[in-house]
Amino acid sequence: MAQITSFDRRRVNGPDDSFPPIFSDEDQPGSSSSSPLQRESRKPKDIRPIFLQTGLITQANGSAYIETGNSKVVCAVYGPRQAKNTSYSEKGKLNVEVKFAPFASQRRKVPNRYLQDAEDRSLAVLIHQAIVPSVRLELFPKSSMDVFLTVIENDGIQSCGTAGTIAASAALADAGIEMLGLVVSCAGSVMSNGEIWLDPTTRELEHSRASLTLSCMPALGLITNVSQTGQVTPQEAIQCMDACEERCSDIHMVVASALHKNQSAL
Amino acid sequence: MSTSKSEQSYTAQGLISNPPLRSDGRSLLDYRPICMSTGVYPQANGSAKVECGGSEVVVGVMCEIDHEGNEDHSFSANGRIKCNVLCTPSAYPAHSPPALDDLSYDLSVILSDVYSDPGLLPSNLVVVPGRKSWTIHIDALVTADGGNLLDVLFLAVRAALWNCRVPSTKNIEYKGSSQLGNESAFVTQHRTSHAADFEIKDFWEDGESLANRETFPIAITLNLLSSIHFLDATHLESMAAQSRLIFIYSFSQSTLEGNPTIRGIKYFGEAMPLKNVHTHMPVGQQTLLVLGGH
Repeated sequence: MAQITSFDRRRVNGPDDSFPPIFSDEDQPGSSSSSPLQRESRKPKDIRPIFLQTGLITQANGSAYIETGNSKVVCAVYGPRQAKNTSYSEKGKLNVEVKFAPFASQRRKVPNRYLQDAEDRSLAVLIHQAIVPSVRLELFPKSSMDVFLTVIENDGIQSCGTAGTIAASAALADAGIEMLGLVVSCAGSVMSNGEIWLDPTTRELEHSRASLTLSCMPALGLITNVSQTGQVTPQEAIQCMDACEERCSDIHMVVASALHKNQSAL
Repeated sequence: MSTSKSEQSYTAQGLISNPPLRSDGRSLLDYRPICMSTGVYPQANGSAKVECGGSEVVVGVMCEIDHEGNEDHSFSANGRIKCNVLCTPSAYPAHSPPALDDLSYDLSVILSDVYSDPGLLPSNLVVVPGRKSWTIHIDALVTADGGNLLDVLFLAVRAALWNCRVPSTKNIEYKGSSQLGNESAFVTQHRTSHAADFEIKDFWEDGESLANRETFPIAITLNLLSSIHFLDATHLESMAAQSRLIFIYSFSQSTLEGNPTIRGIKYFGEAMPLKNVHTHMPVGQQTLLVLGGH
């Protein structure tokens, strides 16, 4: 949508367009032009530490705040509450909405309360598919549950997706909504030499050939969502999915212990 | 489309019975007859129309020149592919406009995720090196939906891209008056490429096809129900399925030999064990060989 600049003759108008500042890469270790053949500071199958805390938004039924690397996502759950339409629905409805803060990415996003941006909706659909198989919607006829996610800092759309899924599931548990299991999510990337690196940063993603996100319920051994982009052979895809599923059980322990800690603190 | 529980149960029972029964007598891995025509819209650079058992998708491909100083600062010197899908109200008479927008957007995202991969970008999209390149706009119109829409959509896009001809261009160089002796430091023309502009060659020539058109992918939607999987589901059958697993495959050359590469995986539906994904992948490859001939 083109932005129409309204000129106000009584004031000094600023420039029409704005550009983000360009930082020199000299002081950062390993400039983006060189492709990293070896992973710095982590083993290929290691993920970054997760910080998860629930119950920070008091007026919501449940909430969770998660940080992985530089991605920060906050999730609030409202529900179950009466659905707006009068038509009868046997199962409850789960609505997931994602909003990026204007300062979340490198380039500023224009804040617009009514329009859901392109990126927002695809992330919302991904997170919705990841958590909807775990929620017992048949226990909430005629009701709806709203999951609102706000991305405060975006360190790669992959990590926002995985962090968002984990936050949404933790927030639903915090709200006391009946679920079949906790959903956790892990992302992996296939580098140009065929190696699989889990939980890639934005810079590592730039040099990868493909990326894959897997969401599952480790308690039941079932997956709820798999999404892959890029170019892989079927064998690499299977290897990546298996690596992600293994790591998911570790993430599940982190989430479960965070929930337990917050519950016992009450 | 809303169906009753008894209809869904009836369809599901037919699918898992031995031998499997489908309402039109197909086997589980059969596609409905596919009708494809290319070059249907001569004013577009490439076009195709694919109809498969009630689902119809029309795709038009237009090539547009993209230059360095464009508004959204997204110029790429090697060209790019932009995809857009529009679901027409005639295909979905019961949908409200916002629901139609959401459906169009979701399909566009699936298409864009696959075609934005730099590995799929044709190599002959450069016009003036570093300054101008072609942007391929893929516009798909869903005119009817009888089930299995994603497969038909990807087939139509592949056919339209196969059919697409990029106009041939010729670079023009502006030569300044020759200087005797030394060149002054103010002469900056030599710093960038010599070509400053382009012109389109005589339009009676068709232009050239896209460089790696045999690598453009197609989608296979596997509908999963307990331990079986079936292809090309009608609306009723997809309601009876527990989940859908979509693989997007491409071959590296047109001979269909060698192993296909996966360009995308998507999943919709209920939870299932991971090993199901592993077992269903080879089926997708076999089906690809069947469809690859198109």
